[in-house]
Amino acid sequence: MGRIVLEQVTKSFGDVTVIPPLDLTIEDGEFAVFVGPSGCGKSTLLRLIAGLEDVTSGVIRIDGQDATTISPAKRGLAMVFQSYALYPHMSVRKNIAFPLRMAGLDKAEQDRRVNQAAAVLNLTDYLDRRPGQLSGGQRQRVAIGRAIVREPAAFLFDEPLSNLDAALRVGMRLEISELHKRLETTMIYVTHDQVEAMTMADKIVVLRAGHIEQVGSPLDLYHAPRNLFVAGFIGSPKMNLISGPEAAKHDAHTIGVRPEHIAVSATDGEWSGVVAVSEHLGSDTFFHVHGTGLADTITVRAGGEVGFRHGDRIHMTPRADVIHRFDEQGLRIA
Amino acid sequence: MARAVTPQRKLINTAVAWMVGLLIFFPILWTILTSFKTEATAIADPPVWFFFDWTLDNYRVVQERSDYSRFLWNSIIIAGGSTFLGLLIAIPAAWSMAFVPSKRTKDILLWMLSTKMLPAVGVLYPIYLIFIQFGLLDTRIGLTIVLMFINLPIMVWMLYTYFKEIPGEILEAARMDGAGLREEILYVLTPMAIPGIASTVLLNVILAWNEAFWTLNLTAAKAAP
Amino acid sequence: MATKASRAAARLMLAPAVILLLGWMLVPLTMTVIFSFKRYLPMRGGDLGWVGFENYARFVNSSAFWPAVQSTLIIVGGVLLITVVLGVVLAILLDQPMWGQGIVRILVIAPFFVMPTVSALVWKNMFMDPVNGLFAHLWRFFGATPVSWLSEASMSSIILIVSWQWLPFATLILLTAIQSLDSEQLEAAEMDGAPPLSRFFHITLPHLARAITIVVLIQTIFLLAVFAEIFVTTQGAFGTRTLTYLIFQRVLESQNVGLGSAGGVYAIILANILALFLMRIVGKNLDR
Repeated sequence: MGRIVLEQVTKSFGDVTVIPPLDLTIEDGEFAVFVGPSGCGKSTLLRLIAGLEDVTSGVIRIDGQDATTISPAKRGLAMVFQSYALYPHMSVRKNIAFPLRMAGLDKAEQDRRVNQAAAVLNLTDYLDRRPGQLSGGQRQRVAIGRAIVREPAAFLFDEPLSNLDAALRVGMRLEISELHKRLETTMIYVTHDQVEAMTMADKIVVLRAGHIEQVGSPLDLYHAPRNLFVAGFIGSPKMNLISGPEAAKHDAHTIGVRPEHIAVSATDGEWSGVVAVSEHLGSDTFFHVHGTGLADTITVRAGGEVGFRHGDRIHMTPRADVIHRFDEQGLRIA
Repeated sequence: MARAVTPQRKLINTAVAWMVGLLIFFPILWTILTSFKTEATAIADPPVWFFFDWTLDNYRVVQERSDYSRFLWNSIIIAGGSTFLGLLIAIPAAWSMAFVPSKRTKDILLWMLSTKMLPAVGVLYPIYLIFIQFGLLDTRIGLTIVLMFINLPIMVWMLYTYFKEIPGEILEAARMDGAGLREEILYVLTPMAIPGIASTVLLNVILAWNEAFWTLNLTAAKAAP
Repeated sequence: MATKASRAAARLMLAPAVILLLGWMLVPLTMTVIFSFKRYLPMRGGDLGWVGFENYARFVNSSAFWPAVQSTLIIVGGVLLITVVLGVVLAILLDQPMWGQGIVRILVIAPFFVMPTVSALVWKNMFMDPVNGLFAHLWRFFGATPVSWLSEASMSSIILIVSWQWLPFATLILLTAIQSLDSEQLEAAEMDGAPPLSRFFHITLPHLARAITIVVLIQTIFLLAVFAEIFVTTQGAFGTRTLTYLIFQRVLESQNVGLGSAGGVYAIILANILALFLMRIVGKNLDR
């Protein structure tokens, strides 16, 4: 059981306020992702929940109990660190068993749980190696193994995939998602990568400068970003943001159009410009278009192979039903 | 600089390095050789190198005349003891400074180092008096304590530099895994810092071993190393 | 990693070291300062009352004072120069690929393990003795008159002995630093056409700056207090009386604690002036 509630939590380092008063509830069994640019306070927030930092004020509840002043060791949470933080002087087996040893479990029970975790994570063959002899992905699994043997109330992940190469990252992402489905334990996952957030989360918490910009399911955020920041942050490639006369036509200060919601044509369309770069991925083609008079660059995503090249004139038409409108404060107009 | 070099180059390196090495080592070698000579061979002119009647007489005489082995034992106990005591105090202090740094950490560290700058002669007589007062003069305990104090700043400093290279995340991981402060230091930090601790211990034993000023002035016979 | 709990723990764990060192420093220091204002002769009447700055004036005005300061600085400076320059050369040499590298390194480092008293005795009796010393044999072999080293070239002899003891330390620290030098930097410089000598001055030497600072700092601390070598070899005669030795003589040989304490305060001041310079440099390099 791991329902985590933050009530009016703040954190400052000296005079610098990192987290202004913040309320947040993460339901039991939920996969919550904290996402935001670097320095937005997402890691600090995670460390507050972990107990590695003190809150300046406010209350943290884990399963209804006030955990604000409880030491990290006693909160019943497990954490996977960015650098994996494996104990280099211990074998994989000892690493995974360490929390159990600290909890004072007997040797047989330790072995049973370590073997079980190793089987789940495909680590059985590596149990007697040292972390230094493992690949990045294997180390990551050991770190996860160390977390799951404790059967914690919630897992905390601090950018766990950022040290892995691209291919491995996709694989581990799937493994973590699968693990969550199987364990049904609360997970809080911090990342700056919106793709990880979109693919894994039940609930995404978008943070900027310690503020929560929006909380919602991935598709909520995609379809109805609450403000310009979320609109620009969620989605890849980024949403095109256009202000000025074109936005005024839609009674808005700024309008946003996702690249995938623009149709292209060689002959006619609402907008036109010159292709600066075209990226051919096979399944999709991205065009970065200059000289539209709307914004510096308009990005368009077309399905399949579409044959525009550098320097070609291109005509574009946005889908009217999915244009996002924002007012002067950058807030969404419903 | 692990680059391939020509064998000639390596040969020259080897020859030069060995020559320099042997030159620096020579006084020790000569001492060892001489210790096996009789008094007459030792002062022979020209000096005799290897072909003399090797004898252990000198060692026997030294042991008989002054119970040399007891002095040796004193040295070992004092150097080892002061190092051990120093570690007990220095490891926690270095942990604090390396992992929970505050604005004053650097000042404290520099201040500690500056106590080393205090010339021993400046405080010789007061220490002498204090030692008489507490009956520590010419005891092994007294000398152990003094040597511990003398080398404590260097120990703290060295351990601090080594500890700083250990990522804090690993200690945090231990904390998340349910380790208390004692377990964190005992099971995680210390084993990881073994190489650093070992070189600290080595340097400290040597420094204690080499410390002559206090040893000469605070001891006479019993505790003399 | 800074919760209130861990900060409290940190303070608690730092406390013993700070308190002990503070006591170790303050108690004797205070006593020394008090003694320095007194006429205090333990063997001839004990505490004879306050005398103001008389001890300080007498110590400075004694004919031995300035020569002692001078000898101290010459010994410290000479040994530092020799050990740092030779240390850099040796470190580079020992870093080259060769056969038996491990053994050579042990040979070079060995003198550090010899007690100063022992090494001084060895040098005095087996090398520098004008009749039976090895140097005397060598001189006679070439037909020269043996030099009585410790009286005729006393300063150079002591600097030689002390340098021999400290060279291993300098070499060891500098060798560790050289090994951490990124070889790609040197290779890049070689590609850029820098000849070996300028590679040394522009890349190797700056890289060693921090290690050299450490060597200079630590050695200065110990060299200021060089004692055993002088005690064993010349007993402070022939112009080798350092400040440390002078004060030692005043306190223990002439049993004039007041005068010696005033000397101690001077020594502390001298050490602090040097320390101030060094601390600045080290403080700057410490965070790197």
